[in-house]
Amino acid sequence: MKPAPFAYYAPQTAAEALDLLARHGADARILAGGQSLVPLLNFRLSAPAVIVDLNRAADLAYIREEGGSLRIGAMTRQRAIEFSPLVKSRLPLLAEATRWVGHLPTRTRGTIGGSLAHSDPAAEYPAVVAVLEGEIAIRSSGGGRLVRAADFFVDFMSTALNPGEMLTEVRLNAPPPGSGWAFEEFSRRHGDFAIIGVAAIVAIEEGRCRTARVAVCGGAPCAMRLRGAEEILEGGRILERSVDDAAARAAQLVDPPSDLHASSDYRRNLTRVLTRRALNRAIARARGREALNG
Amino acid sequence: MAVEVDRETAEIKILRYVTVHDAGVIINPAIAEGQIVGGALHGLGGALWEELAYDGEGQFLAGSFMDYLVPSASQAPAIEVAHLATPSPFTTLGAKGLGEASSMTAPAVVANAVSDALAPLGVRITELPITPSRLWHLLERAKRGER
Repeated sequence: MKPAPFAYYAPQTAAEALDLLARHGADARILAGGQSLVPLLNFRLSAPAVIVDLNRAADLAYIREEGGSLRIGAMTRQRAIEFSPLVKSRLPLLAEATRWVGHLPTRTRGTIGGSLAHSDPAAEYPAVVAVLEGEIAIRSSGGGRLVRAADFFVDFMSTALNPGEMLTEVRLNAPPPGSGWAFEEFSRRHGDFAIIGVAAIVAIEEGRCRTARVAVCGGAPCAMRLRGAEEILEGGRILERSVDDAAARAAQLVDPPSDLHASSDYRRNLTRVLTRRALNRAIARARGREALNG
Repeated sequence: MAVEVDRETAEIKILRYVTVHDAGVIINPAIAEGQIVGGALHGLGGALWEELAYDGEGQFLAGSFMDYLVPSASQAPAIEVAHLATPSPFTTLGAKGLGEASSMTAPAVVANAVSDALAPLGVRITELPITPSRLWHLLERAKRGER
């Protein structure tokens, strides 16, 4: 199918885009990399009156370090993130997770801002931003605000963005020093939507878990932090049993759907298995680092 | 076929796939091998990924290639092909058809290989495609002592 008719604008800057959004409000949809929106338009699952195409807004594509955090512009391609030396050194978890985002050709078009604003329940980036406790910069013609990841992802494909607003940047802090990280995912074929994905960060101090963070994609209507599972690990010695307990708790906390590709029970099982695997890899990395630093 | 099944995720990995065909006199070996490998991938699709699924109200669930999963190059295992050449007495050149046989044997060999791998657990495959979710439910049922 072809999309329903729409008016098309291609602003050259973020400011021009914000003017257009102010003018068209809820009638406008933002086109970023188009890897999710264009299929939705073609299936006519989405039929906006106005498309504001950000692909010419070069001021929205950048990766830079500022104020101790990494700032990534909304129109930064996933492929640029995958191969950024800055991302690799400061946020290797983001680099690792990017390998799971779609396929190589889709990553050359798909953007981090598009992925976060679309908030597909199975998307990797929302889980990564949640686990890194990132902040999302939102602007409108009237001003701007910063929203914590925990408050940004609201429900199924629904975020804190209001009509007239645009996600312009994501700010990510490197995980606490001495921490290890891992991203695990299971999909039917590599590059397909995740059935379940798990991002984990573990910081170890003198053999005890100082910080644990776990977020899941595919396990709920939107990306979800699993605080209950993290609490099982924090403060205690790292034991096989505590990792198993945290993974079991993770499986209780999610509320995954059943669909053509997997039952809810199977997704719960995957949440347990992948949480355990992600935590174990994160712990191994943290220990490697601890040994290096010590 | 030799397979490996991850007991936790129910992921199936094909370790080795050998297929032998009798196409009589083979006129063009490259085309013959292409037919067999292509047929095998088609058959693997039906065994592991492709499903014309409908919900209870008759709504088709796999209406696009986002949901109707066909194997691509990255799903293709190494396929070892061998030939028997018994000339056909019915054709001028002694050649026979080939291709379909490969797509018909693939689903059966996958089901048999997975059944064999999981025989100690009491799992037998009777339904295709063997999705990880479906196979995991079979493993769980076997764990509970149900067949």
